Amino acid sequence: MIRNSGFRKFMALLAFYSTEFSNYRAEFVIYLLGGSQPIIMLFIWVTLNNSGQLSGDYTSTHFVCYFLLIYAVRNCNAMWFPWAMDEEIRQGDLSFKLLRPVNPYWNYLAYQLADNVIRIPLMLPVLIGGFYVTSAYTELSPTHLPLALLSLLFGISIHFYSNFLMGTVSFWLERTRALEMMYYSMLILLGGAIVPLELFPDGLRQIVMFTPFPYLLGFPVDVAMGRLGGAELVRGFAMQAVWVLLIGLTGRALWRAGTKGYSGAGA
Amino acid sequence: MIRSTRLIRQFFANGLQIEMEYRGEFLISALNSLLAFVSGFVVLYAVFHNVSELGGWAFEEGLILFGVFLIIEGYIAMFLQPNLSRLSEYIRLGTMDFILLKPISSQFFVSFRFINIWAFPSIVLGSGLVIYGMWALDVLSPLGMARFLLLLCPALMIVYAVWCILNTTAFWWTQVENINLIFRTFFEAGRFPVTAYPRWLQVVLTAVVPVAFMTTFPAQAAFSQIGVSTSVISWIVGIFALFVSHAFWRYALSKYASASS
Repeated sequence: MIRNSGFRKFMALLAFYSTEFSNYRAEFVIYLLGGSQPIIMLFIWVTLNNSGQLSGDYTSTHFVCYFLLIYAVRNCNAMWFPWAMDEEIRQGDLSFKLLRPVNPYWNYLAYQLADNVIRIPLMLPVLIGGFYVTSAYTELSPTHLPLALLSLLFGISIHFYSNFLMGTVSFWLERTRALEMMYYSMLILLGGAIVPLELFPDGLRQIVMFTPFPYLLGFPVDVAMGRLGGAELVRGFAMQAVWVLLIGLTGRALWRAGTKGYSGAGA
Repeated sequence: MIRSTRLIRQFFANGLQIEMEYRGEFLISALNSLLAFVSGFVVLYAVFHNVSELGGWAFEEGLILFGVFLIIEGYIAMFLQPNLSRLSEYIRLGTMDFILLKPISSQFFVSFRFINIWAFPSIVLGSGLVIYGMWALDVLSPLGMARFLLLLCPALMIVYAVWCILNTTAFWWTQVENINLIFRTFFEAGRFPVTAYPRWLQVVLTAVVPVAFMTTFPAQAAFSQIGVSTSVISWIVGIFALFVSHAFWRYALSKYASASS
């Protein structure tokens, strides 16, 4: 019964944020264009592949499939809730949220999911259309799709907790936006959205695979395309679990410490 | 003209004062620049690990291009971000009305009021890369530098104009802080020379979203004899972009109904 009412509260939050997001028409344009960077990279790699310089027998459809999927995964990762958190904390709006009978944490989760509710329907036509026109879906590995979905969920969790963690930093630091910009560029650069991870030189790739970034973008895509062997799969999922726990728990600890000392500036 | 330079000096001094309160930001910003440098370098290195040339550009030439990319990122963080992204807030909170009452051009005020000096590490790193690349290619000379700067100026003008135009949409849409992500998305394409893209996309990246003018052309000017026509066109596009941004600003103001009064 209690669980059920908690669930209802959460659904109310989700509905609230979905409506609020859809109020800003400009955001739709931003959603559509802002996530399209992988599509530009798709063309560069197809061109490079056609120039015959790449060793390894890649086909153009391989790159089309890879970057279409990167585009899809990228669009499952909400873009801007730490900014909202930062503003709430600094301007004191958080005080009101703390008074409500729902932990603000659920607010942020609803924020992330509402972003998904709005953005995934905008992304799917591009993905499906792209697959249809180029037949790139033949590069997918159907047997790996359930696993890919699971790794995508893990990836979204890492992303959510990273955002939450960055948001909590605002309790102590002014202007955390620099931090977020840093996170996003590292995500794109090291996550595999510009150069596919398997094309990194070996030594570099091993280092990059220790950062959380590949597990948000490149890893789920490589799983879906069946590029990874058993050992790599196990290792990848283990790394995802480690990062979810590590970032999640750090965020939780910071949130507790932060709200404890929070004096609600401005409220 | 004299008055604007005096104002800019004032803004700068005041901006400096404000920034000194956030000295801690220097560390974040330096770390930021360093990570942007390292991860950008890793990506460039990874590309050239697989191919010997990218759209006809060699690795060192790619380094120069990456240097230009970092300079522009620093320029945005130093001048554009702290100013233009505040426009949404001005309009939402009604502060815009006070700005309009001031006896100077509102576009000038909104564009140059603040400065984030802590963004300088990016500019230093980027300039270092450009110089290193020119040295490695054995083309480092005062004339080469001059050519580079000649093309970098219109690049900065165009970047400003695009930022200004994107943020001016706040007069209609109010909440546009995130619109700069659109710039970010297309600017990412400027990490690589436009010649690396298929023909039609080159046209788009030159004529529709002028990314080519922002990174490719200045970088090219640093290491090769760039055609007179490219330089002239860059300047024409730069001045035209400024003009458009101003016209759009005035148009937006004429439609502006004020939020608070």
